[in-house]
Amino acid sequence: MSRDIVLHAVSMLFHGREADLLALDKVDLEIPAGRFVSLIGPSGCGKSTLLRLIADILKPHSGRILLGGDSPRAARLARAIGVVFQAPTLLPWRTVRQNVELPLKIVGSAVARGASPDEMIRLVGLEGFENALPHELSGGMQQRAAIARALVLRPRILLLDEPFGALDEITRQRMNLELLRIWAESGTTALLVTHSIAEAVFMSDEVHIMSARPGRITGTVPIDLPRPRDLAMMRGREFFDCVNKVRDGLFGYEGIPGPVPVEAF
Amino acid sequence: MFLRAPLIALISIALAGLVWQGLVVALHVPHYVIPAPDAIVAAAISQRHVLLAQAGFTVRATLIGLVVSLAFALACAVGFTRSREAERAALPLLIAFRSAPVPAIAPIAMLFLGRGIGTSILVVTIVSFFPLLVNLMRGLASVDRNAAELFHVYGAGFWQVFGMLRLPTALPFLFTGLRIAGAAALLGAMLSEWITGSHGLGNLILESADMRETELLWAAVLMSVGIAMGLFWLTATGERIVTRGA
Amino acid sequence: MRGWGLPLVSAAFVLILAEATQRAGLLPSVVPAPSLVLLQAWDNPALVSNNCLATLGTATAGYVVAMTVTFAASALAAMLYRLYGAVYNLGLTLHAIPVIAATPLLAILIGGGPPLRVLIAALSCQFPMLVGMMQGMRAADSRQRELMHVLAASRADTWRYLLLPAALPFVFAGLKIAAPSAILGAITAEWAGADRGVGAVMLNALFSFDVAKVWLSVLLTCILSAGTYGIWALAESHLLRWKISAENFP
Repeated sequence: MSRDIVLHAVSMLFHGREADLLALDKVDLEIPAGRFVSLIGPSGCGKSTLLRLIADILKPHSGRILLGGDSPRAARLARAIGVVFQAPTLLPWRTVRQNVELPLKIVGSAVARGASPDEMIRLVGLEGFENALPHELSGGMQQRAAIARALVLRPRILLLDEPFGALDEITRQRMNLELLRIWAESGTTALLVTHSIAEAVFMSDEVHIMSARPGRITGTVPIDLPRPRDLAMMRGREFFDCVNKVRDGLFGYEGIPGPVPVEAF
Repeated sequence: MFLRAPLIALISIALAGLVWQGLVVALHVPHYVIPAPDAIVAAAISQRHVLLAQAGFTVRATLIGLVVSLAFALACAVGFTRSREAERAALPLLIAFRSAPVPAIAPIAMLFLGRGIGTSILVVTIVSFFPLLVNLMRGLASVDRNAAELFHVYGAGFWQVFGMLRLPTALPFLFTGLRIAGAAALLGAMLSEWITGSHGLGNLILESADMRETELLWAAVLMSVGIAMGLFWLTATGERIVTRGA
Repeated sequence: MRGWGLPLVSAAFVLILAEATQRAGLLPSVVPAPSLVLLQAWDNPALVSNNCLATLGTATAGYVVAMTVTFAASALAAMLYRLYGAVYNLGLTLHAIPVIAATPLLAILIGGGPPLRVLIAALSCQFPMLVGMMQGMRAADSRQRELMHVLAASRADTWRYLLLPAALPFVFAGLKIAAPSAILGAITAEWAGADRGVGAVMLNALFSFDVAKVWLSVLLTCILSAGTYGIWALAESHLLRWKISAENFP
């Protein structure tokens, strides 16, 4: 069902007014089908650009991207990609159900594999709000609707661009748990872009660390925590070890003596 | 410095005139449809007494109306800043007045003041009042909060705060208002001349069209464009002088 | 509807005050008693309806012409982005030509008949329409466009589901503001010599010093311009419920 993601020597160049900016420099990346993988790095490291390349919103300057063996364009035209942006990007004149239905309307009857919108709305926990307009919902609920919309075509690949970045910490935590549950039910390949170390570790099977200027993948940390994940795991030794490994990958040891301090979460 | 913009305008007007002349002559456009610039200039010179007298009438009405309007707007703005109640009481009336269009104001003004300059002045005053008031109010309200608190701590009185803080802050806004009001004022003056039908450029335009004096018609139209540009230049220059001094 | 109470009460108060002071002889003769103005309309229903219809006809024709032309122009600007500035500036330039200069000049070119008045009405109302349509065509933000792209929506679907609904509020705002301008343009054009229409009634009444009829024509001017605006506002509040309720949301 799900597709793998393979990037080979992908470079991206933005033509600036004064100088060209090398946003991504020969990035190699392999994400097996059905996995949940995170990209983490400082702002401006090109992680959102990478996501947009995979979604066929941008075209790479050089290199090759394959999604289950297809080009991003072919995968997009086959409606194999679902995207959740940082902003919910709901159409304000459509109700929750109409927004979730939108991909089905666009595909028409040609592709009959879509889920029912009501099923998706139930999955993200928005029953009772089907006929609400986006502005009547809280930020977290709007983002749930956006996730339902991204899943309604049963995408093989789900791309998440800091989907909960605008939410408060408590809501964000809850939404992450929900997202994991939804992902497990849908069986899709998920790629999450984030700049929160704890979030990346908690969610993923694998965390890829990026550096900025030029954007490169500088390291990969496998996360061997059991699934399904729960909040209690975040208090465990293994979780801290993973968090520290990611942090070391981002900042280096920087000569801190003794036990590495743990981020309060 | 201040003369550069008009100079550029003059040069481009001259160029446009040359192109116009060339086109009219080359395409044999009949003079009663679109006259050539040299014919318009000739008509303007031969009828300069009429043209200047009527333009003078229009300019006088526009300027007097603007000054009266500015005085009213300032008084209202001061009053509204002093007392919220006054603002709340007067605002609905002002809004009702504001939504009345010139074609509705002009005939009533004429009923009251007849066919002379009074009607033009009244119409100009009414149409230029709102842009002036709205921008003045916005300007007076946009004082820096910390500066206002500072004045308060020093125990400054209303007029001190007004003269030293509010008015200087409001000046750029006032000029924005003047620029809008100036254009509306000239149009208002000419429209009321049109309806009173006795004096001014607006009436001259209508009369020369009726008489098929196309050259004079164009001369009057161009004259009104010139007056509009002059008004605009005057406010822009005034703005530059005042804001530099501030 | 609660917001209507106070204005209605104060309007009624002003009318009653005017009636009373006029009857007491305290007002100048150029201010007629409101009842006299209404009586004028009551006694000459044909005068009111004929001339209102003439003005409405002119204004509507001009409005439709302006709507067609501005729609074509803004569609052109949307398809060929290079023309965006040119289309906008053309509209702005036409808008800057005062009616009082345009009317006699155009009269020489196309004569003083109904086509002139339609053209003047069209010229008077084109700019707000154009601005609304051009703003509307750019109203969908880049995220929403990316969404349609990822969904591999066709051009037609992108228009249907995103671009047109996103444009509607702006288009409506433009059409709403333009409606009174078309009426006022038609009335001003009638001043330049028409035998029918509210503007013609106004001018005739002024020259025969028929005070009540002048006030009646002014009243009709206000009713027509406010009424056309009101129709659009009403349509807007029904068709764009999502926008209105979003604006009122705390």
